[in-house]
Amino acid sequence: MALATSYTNESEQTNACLALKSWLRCHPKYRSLVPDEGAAGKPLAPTLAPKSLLDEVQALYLQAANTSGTVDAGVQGGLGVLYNLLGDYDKAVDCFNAALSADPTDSRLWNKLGATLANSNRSAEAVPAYQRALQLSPGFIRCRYNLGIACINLKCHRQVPASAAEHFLSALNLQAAGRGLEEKFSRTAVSDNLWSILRVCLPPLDLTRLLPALNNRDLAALNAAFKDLPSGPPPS
Amino acid sequence: MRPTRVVVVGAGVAGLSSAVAVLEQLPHCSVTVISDSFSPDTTGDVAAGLWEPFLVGNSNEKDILKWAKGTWDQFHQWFQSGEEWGVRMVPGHTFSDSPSQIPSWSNIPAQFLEYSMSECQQISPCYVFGYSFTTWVAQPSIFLPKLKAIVEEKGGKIINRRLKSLDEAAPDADVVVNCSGIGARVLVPDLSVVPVRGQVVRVRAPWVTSFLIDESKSTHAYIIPNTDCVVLGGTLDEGEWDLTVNADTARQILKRCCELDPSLKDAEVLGSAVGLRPYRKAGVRLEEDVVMTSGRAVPVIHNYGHSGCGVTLMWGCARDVASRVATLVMKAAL
Repeated sequence: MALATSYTNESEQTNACLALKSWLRCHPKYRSLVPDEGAAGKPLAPTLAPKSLLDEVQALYLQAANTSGTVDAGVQGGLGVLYNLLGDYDKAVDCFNAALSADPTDSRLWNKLGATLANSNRSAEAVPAYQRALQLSPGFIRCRYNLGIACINLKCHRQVPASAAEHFLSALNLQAAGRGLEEKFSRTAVSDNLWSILRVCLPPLDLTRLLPALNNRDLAALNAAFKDLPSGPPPS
Repeated sequence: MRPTRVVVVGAGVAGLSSAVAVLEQLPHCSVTVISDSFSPDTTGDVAAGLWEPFLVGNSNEKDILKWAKGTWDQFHQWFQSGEEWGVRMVPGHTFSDSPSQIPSWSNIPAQFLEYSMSECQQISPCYVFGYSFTTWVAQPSIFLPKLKAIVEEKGGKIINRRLKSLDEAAPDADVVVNCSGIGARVLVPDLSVVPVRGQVVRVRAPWVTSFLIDESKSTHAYIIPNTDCVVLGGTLDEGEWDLTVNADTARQILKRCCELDPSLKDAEVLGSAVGLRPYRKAGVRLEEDVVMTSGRAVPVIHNYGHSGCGVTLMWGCARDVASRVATLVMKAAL
């Protein structure tokens, strides 16, 4: 499932579909739903999946949801990822909510719910979901990154609140300490994104004096500078 | 992760500064600049390059001040770098025959000073209002080639191509940045963009080391020293598209500027040029939009309509563009 999620984040539709399918195939309860595939078919482009594949995976997951009797957080989570792939964010939100009703202690699910809300222009609703995820897993780098983005978007792209920069900075600190929750997510990509976004935060906060430290990726200097800032509530 | 592909339309002062700002602020983006004109043939190359928010349409004043200050700071950096960016610090004076307000930007330049009525009339009996300040003059024909080189050094691509509409820039783009100046009228299309034609004369007069602007409606003229010449102007011909030099106008500009500073009568005339200021009554358009290409919606950030202050606003606007690109490409991760 982590693999399917990462492929979805990278917009690799085909790979995400195949990963979702193999999750079902490896699951003792749903194994029988997935037909055996003989020799591999012709290779597909990794990004755009053919409609037939998307339809097939959707049908499999709906079938799995129907056979399971009670709500299965794994199946609903997978379906939520699939609806993200399809761009149907409302349905994805429903699925993650259903999954969370079965397992409210899964921080990854809370983050998925938040990210889906945020990507469909509902950043205000995303924030409490991210906060639940961070209560459960304080070291969740991806979620802290998402929370920083939500803080920026809530300010209508104009003013960057200090809290956004602090979220990005604490994500970088977590990463430097090697305390990330997730392993499959491409580390260098997140890291580059975090540094770029932190750079964007500095001018609106009148912190361009920190640009040299940023250019040197000097985390210690940035931490020291932010410690002295009169700031709002600390990131939870 | 595939780099975010940013396509910048236009290679004038707005386009190249935006391209550099994106490359500097967002190193994981790939940048392509598409334009059909490059220095020395852009509108900016004709401009005198004086930092002064002039002819800004009805732009929001706070935005203008923020963008102008961003450019001021950048010119300061170029000046201090010791490299030849075509940037000099120049003192000078502005006078007018009608009373006016102290400009809102007066606290950005060094040593802004308002003249009393009697001080104005010592210069000429027709002047009733005036001020002096010290500001940057940045010569686009020197800094544009340098910006282009930076784009290429940082891995950006430059394509010489004429676009018929904005969506032609979109097929290989995740974000399009529209810095098409007067071209926005056709490309967007935005019919509120109209040319305000400006004709200037360039002379060699190294003894002229301060600028002089007469803002009187009937006798409007300016003398602005650049790095390797002095720019004499100028005209404000709204709705005029003619890019050819008018010999009569050139003679009038010379005559008027010689009245302002008689020492110019000995100056060697280097040439004349015409540029079309991209005037937009509503002011600068710096905002997000969308363009459709083969069923895909591609976000656009417009950065045009700088009217008479494309140089003055360029760096602040470019920073703003880069921040907007950053937020557009920020997707939450599942």
